[in-house]
Amino acid sequence: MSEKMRPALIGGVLLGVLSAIPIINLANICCCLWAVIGGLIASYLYIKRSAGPVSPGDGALVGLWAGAIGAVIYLVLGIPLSLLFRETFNLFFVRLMSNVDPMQAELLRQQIEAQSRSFGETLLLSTLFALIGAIILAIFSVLGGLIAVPLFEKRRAPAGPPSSPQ
Amino acid sequence: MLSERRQIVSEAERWAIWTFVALSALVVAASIFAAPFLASRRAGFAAYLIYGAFARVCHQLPERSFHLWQHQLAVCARCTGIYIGFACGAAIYPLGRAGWRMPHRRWLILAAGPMVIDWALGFTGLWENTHLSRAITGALFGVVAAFYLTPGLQDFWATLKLLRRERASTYHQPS
Repeated sequence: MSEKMRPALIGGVLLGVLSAIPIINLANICCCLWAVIGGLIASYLYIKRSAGPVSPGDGALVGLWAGAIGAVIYLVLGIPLSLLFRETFNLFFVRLMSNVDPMQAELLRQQIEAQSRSFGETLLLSTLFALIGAIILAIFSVLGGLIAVPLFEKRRAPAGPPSSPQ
Repeated sequence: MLSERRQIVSEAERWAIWTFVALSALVVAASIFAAPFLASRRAGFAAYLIYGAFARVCHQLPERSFHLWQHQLAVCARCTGIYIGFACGAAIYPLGRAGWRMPHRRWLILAAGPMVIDWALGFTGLWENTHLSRAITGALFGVVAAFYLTPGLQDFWATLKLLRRERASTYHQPS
């Protein structure tokens, strides 16, 4: 396994699984937090393992691999889970909201009922939005991998030999 | 070597990447406002797609979002600030860049500070933050983030070009 793939695999599995599990995946509503964290962790692990200083581009590449792995896991796990637990999750969310703001909870309940669709429609829309979600996860994972380098890489890259006078 | 990484990406490519980042940021920022506009014009499905796409990255709670044309924006006030700030930062980046280099990490941490404090004070109930405080602190972070992501993506392009060069030299090596 290349030196980039193991950190990417760890970051990718983390972001994919956490983004797929209902309730836990709610953290993604904070600017795709799991995706950014997945890319950040992958890049951080690569920085720690790397013999020399890591550039932001390398961090972004590790983030991209992590995002790709995470996106596949998210699609494979997330679509079936969201279809299976959609009703349970909606009920949970309405109950949670009713403790905070009963009026908002009632609006949410009405919105959910108004959007109720046939299974075929639900499957199509779930798949479409899951594909959009997977692309967004990958993009934010790249950004997470990229931003990890200025945060965690303290070594400086050698500047290289100066150009000779002509 | 740093010099090799910097030389592999031409000046024209750096400007092209900056243009791509700035335009993408502008499109994302514009779509935040397009959603309520389309909803008010009864273009329901188009608005639904935009709201649905942004639902992947934002809670979209109505009481924490700005409203226009009697519909909420596609993201909350904080996210609106972040995306608009990023678009502005990306647009002005050529004016403030230092040789297309990434700034020191302290500026990113300093820029994130007010946003984190604003969120933490609201979350703990110590202070009731407002749409404006969330948007402004988000915008500050967004502007500064653009100064990291733009040179970062240019360096990403350098990484991809180096990777392609390595693969090409491996492929052409005599057996």
